[in-house]
Amino acid sequence: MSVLPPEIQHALSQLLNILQSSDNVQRTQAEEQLSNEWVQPRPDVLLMGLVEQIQGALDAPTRSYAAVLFRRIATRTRPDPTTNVSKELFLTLPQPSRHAIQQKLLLCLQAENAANVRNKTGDAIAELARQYTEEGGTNIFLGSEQTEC
Amino acid sequence: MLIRRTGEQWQELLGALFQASQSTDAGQRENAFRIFATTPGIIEKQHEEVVLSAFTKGFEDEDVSVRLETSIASHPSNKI
Repeated sequence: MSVLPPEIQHALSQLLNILQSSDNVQRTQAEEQLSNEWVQPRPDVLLMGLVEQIQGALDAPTRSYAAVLFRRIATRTRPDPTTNVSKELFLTLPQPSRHAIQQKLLLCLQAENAANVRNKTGDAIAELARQYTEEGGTNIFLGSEQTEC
Repeated sequence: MLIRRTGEQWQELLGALFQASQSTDAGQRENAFRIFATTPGIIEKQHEEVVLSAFTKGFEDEDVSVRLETSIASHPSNKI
């Protein structure tokens, strides 16, 4: 089921543990590592890795944390590597990566039994959907005039 | 008018949410409407019928949380 090699999943899983640690020094180091070794050089691997954590991590708090982190990273802005225009990170990923990530996220939503994790996964999905459609698109129940209020 | 930022769509999303809204699991049904409530832009004019049928069922759901989320999703200002 996993797209990423076990060693990458293992490294990410360890990093997630430290990111949730109560030790400020350790957590700060882990945040730097997250930024320098994952977000900047390989955001697609990171987002796929987080989805696979949502899918496969045994404890619910880690699945929940992975979903929250996924949403946070996906909404960061960075220059699009092809056009250099700043965009939300998820939209700067190549289309095949985006497709694989979002499809797996839908599978996570279907399979998840813990309500809290499911809500967080739903929030992540809603966020990606928002990036695709301009926020506040027509709600068929309201019409465009009222949504602008 | 729905303005697209990228010109791309997430084709499978609406189908997956529709399916979740018909699930036997109340949590799945509730979550489908939570996502509609968070991102109303998912609902497009051309899918009006499918979405209306999902909402009609949602309003009559046996589970109160599902009815509540359906209400919020149908009119985001209902959000508490």
